[in-house]
Amino acid sequence: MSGQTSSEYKYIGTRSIRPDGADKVTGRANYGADFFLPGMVHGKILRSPLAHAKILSIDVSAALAMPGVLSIATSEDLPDMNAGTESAGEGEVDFYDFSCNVLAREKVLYHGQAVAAVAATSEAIARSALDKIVVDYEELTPVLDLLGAQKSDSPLLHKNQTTEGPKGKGKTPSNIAKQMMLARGNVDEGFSEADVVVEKTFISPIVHQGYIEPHACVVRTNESNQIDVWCSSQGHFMVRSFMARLLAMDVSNIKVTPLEIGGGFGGKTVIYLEPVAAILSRKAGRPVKMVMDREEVFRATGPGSSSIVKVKVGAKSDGRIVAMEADITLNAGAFKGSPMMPSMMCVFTPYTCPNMKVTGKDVVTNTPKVAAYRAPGAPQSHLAAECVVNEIAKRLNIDPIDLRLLNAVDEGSPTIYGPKFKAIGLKAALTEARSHPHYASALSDNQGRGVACGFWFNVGLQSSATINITESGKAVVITGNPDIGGSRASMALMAAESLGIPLDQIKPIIGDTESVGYNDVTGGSRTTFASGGAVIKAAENLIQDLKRRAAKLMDIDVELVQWIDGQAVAPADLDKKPLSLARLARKAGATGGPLTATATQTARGAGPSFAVNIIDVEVDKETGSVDVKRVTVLQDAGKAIHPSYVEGQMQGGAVQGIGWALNEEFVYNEKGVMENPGFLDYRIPLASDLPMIDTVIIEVPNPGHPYGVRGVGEAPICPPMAAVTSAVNDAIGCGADFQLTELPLSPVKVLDAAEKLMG
Amino acid sequence: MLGFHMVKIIFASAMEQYTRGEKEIRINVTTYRQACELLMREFPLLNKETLSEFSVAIDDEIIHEPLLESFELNSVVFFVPKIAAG
Amino acid sequence: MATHVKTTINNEAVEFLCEPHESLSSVLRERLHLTGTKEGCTTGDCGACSVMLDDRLVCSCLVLGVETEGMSIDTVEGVAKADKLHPIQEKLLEHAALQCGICTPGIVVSAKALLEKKADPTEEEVRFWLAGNLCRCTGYDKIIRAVLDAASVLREEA
Repeated sequence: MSGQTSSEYKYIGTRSIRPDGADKVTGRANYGADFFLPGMVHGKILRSPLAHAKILSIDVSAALAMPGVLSIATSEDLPDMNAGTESAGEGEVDFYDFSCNVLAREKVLYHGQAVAAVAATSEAIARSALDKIVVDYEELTPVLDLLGAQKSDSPLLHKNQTTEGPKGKGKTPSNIAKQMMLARGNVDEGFSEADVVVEKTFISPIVHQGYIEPHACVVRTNESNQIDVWCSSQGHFMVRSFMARLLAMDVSNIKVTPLEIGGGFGGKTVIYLEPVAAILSRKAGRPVKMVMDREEVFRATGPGSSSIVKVKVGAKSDGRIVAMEADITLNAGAFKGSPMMPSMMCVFTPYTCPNMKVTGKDVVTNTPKVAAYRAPGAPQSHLAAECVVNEIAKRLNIDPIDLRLLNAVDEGSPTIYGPKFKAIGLKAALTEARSHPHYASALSDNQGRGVACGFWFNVGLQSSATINITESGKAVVITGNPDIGGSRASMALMAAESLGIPLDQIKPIIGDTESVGYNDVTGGSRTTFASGGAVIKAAENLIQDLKRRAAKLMDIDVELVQWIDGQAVAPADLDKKPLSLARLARKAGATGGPLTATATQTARGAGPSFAVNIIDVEVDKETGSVDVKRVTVLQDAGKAIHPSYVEGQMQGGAVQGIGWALNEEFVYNEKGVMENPGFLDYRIPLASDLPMIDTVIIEVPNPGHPYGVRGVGEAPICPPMAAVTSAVNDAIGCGADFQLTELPLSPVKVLDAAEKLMG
Repeated sequence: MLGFHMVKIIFASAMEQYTRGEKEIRINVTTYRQACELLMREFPLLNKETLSEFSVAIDDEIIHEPLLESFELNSVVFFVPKIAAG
Repeated sequence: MATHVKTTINNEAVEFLCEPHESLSSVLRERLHLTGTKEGCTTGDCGACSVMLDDRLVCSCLVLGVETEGMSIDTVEGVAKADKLHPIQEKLLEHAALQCGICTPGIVVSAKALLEKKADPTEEEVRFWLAGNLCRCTGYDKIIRAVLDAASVLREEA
């Protein structure tokens, strides 16, 4: 470990019990589907049976006539939207596309797209009413193949979509929505200097975030045009602003109360059900509950992009990388907007190489519109880059960690997208990896080892926090980010540290959209960094006020008052008793009224995070199945506020990446129908698939945060696909020429590759 | 173009469609707002909406909402695509 | 036609009406508002709806409400006793073995069933027993450690 040690702090860096823990282990905590209102009715969605078709007509009359059916919604109930992207929250959104994804207009663009919805007195009636809605479609040829979609003779998803590129908009309609390029130096010159060049293409399938909790909400409208929403999401302010935009309402007419969220990983940074439930509720005059089933989650919510990534790397014989080139194609699904840009910006970021060129394409197909998935776009591009770097290491007979250390970015290194790094921990993580006992351990027959590193930016964005002090001197800390992985615990630790009061005096809660200031989503690995930063600022504001009040009570100058260990202290020679927070709270009425403090910020100084993996696998040469034997994950987390939850992010991200590498994939038939829309056939890792996941937290403090916090949630999923792929190629004896380049590394593919190698 | 070149502005490749392929420009401004006004005059294809699609990095600090930022002498300013969150 | 069903839930006599097609998980959640039992898939793949049915561990989404006539059902709501968490619950919290927590009730019920059958399971036995309980957040490491730790606490208590 380097940087600050936990001994400098009293509370942060300890492994406290999470404040919401008891409710979560007893089943008391309310998640999206656990909420009920009197008079509530049930909404269900009619979904497209075709992957690509024109909607000619929708006849809802028979369904509406059924006893128990209260209302029906189609896209006609949604306000008109102008096409075109606009800046919304932390990214760009085209609200016409968004609206079509909520309820289809004119065309259906993937199997399972929402077409209409019914609210009825029971779920069973709602389901049977869906069968009575008659939709007349004109079937079109589905575009499913990422390469085929780009051809000029491919059927088009959007007749008005042309390719946006570095030279402006294209003239002819295309399924390629965007084409971009990033470069520095001169790659051609770089490759001409190289002693060894490796070029290879890696392919990954559509995968799902696989959160265990399906999307769910309850929406209640009233006669004064107010909407109340209870739902689980990665940001209730996001739900409010998207609903307002899609329903052409003012945000002040919508109140969203966050319920506990059962996993998101980026997949709950958008909405599907809430605007539909609002229409159904308004028409029915009743609160409407909507809950997706697992099949709907797979068929109709945003997965992660499939990818084709070609990488070419050139190095000198001493291991210095002199040229890196990548061509990245990401699937956007039915509407433009894959994470192409971050994918391009991350692919080679761990390396100092002076000559780089990265091109990217954002391509639409008749599959669900992708959503963010943990470090969106980065795992796909790291898969290719890190595998090729491992091949280079093998060709040059240089240890792959040594090769990376020779080429690794450090403080002051420029990035391909512009700015230079401040303090970062990639070299520290690589150095720890090289000296880790795992790396020195021997491999048995049929085993292989892979290493890889990964990068994610992390973001800051907007956060608010309020601290209310109770009459008894306890601190209620209100933030506005759904707690997706223990953030209440980290808010409590930072508040305790800042206020100097014991942890059990802090009650962290998540406020609804009307009881705390605006907050951007729980995403971009920002919550502990940015909302934690707002808590620290609110605590500082509170301490200023407490000092003023203490000065009045002590009848001394405010400059003389210090705040030490949770109490106001006067200089010793003045012989004044310290005033505790509890005492100041009791005197609040006499010193100016209740104690409360608020702070908001657009957080800047988000610290990027680098992760390094060492993964060992064993291949069964009879069946081709891959067993993950040992996993060590290292990551620069900055200061780890709650080390256990930092480790948890590292372990969980690694295992999602392992699933992506070995098992997970959307399987489509030629009609564009997903054939494995359940957890039996879309197989996420099970407890029995895995060993323990060893973690090493590197703590290079982020200079942009008072306690040195970096985001930790996303970087962990960046290296494992490349590490596993390299390990499997190693295990079957590929040497410096990887044969397995297409995920998932299913037993059939592994067996084929192994048999070919054996001749 | 303007006598005393104070700030170096470097465009993200996604912006080059608006800058006639120019990759960077040196301009004499002290604030982000001034820079935007000048850039919109210099490159008529740029407008407030397109500029708002980018964060800027001022002297290696990425700033998501740069509207009120000011620059130091010889500041280096990158326009960087906004990063979505996962 | 709704059917009248008499059961015992967490040691209390409970009667409910349900339609023949309704699953036990749906009855527990929608009719009795015992929402500690979660539904992640309703196809028996995720284990979030694990309950004990006459002392047998089942996915309650694969049992019909009407089938439980005369049977005893134990849900996660009955695991903590008189304001004290069960050692499995305590250890899950100590080890930070939950992130979002949606799978946790199922893990609690399932792990308790294991430790009642086998007081001293190996890591591999815990992993295979919990293979029916999907967790997408943790990578299972801390869950497995928590269950092994709880097993040793329970052995000491016994």
